[in-house]
Amino acid sequence: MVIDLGVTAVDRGTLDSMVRFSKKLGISGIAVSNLLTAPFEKRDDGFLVLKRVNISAKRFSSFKKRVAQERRRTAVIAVPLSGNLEIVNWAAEDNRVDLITLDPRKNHQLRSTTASLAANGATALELQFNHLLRTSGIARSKILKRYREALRTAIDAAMPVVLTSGAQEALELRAPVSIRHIGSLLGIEFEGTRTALLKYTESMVEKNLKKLANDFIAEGIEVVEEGKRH
Amino acid sequence: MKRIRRRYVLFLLHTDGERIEERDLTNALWNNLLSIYGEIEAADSRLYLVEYDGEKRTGILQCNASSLRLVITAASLVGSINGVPICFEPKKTAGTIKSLRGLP
Repeated sequence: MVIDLGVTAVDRGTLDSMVRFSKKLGISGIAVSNLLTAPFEKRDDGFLVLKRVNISAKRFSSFKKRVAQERRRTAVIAVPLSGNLEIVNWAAEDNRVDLITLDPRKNHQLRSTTASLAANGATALELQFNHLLRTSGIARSKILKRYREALRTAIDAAMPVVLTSGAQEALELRAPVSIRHIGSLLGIEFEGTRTALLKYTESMVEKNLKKLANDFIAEGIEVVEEGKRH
Repeated sequence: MKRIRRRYVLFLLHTDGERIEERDLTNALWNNLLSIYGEIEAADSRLYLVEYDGEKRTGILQCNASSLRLVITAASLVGSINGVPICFEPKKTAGTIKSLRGLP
């Protein structure tokens, strides 16, 4: 089960074309920002469309509040790696946050302390490869440098890494085998890319969908059978 | 002289309906390989577009076995050709061209 956790669709038409194209490529689910109201949609053929929210805030208190609100109604929560260390470190440590997204156009670096916190909180570093498709030459080289540095820091701290397309159009999606090759370009051993990039995503989504179920109470506690009232 | 081991990659080129010419595709693949891995790796790759059907948008690439991963990576990172957005999808790799011919 291969899921692309970073897709943006401006309308339903774009989303449907992305779903069709994903199926052709052998992808079985996508997480889309700014469109869904329900946490996830399971299509008739089993294709999974997940709701993703990118949370950024200037103030720490409003950020924390937003994370707590969104967790119960969103399948994937992502936080951009910003200059606000208080927010980034809190997000890294908090297991309600799934991804910390590195924007290569901004000059924010992943610190080893943040990566260590993320490793404990099971928050993954998200790298979006659409930036590599849209650039060439020196511009792409600079993006590769940022991605490779961040990935090295994450791997050293045992922080999970997720490679997503960041696609805004269907043709920016890539087949799972291409994603593995792009991962190896960024510095992951090719043999380890299946586990690092594809399997982790699958287990993360499974865990989050479980949390969204009605019978889930907390980590390790769920309603197995409801008692009858007498 | 050491014999060069070759690999063949069957691929599908997705576009939004526009036809991509063989020469444009070859140039895009070479330019991306050159840009990402440099002149030495590009030269050593012995990249060659053996077959390409512009209608079906399928083809077969040939390259040096040790450069296979570099070639697929560079091809996967081609975002557009002459302004036409594309998606390069490697379907199958093999050691002989015969095993790829006739595959969908």
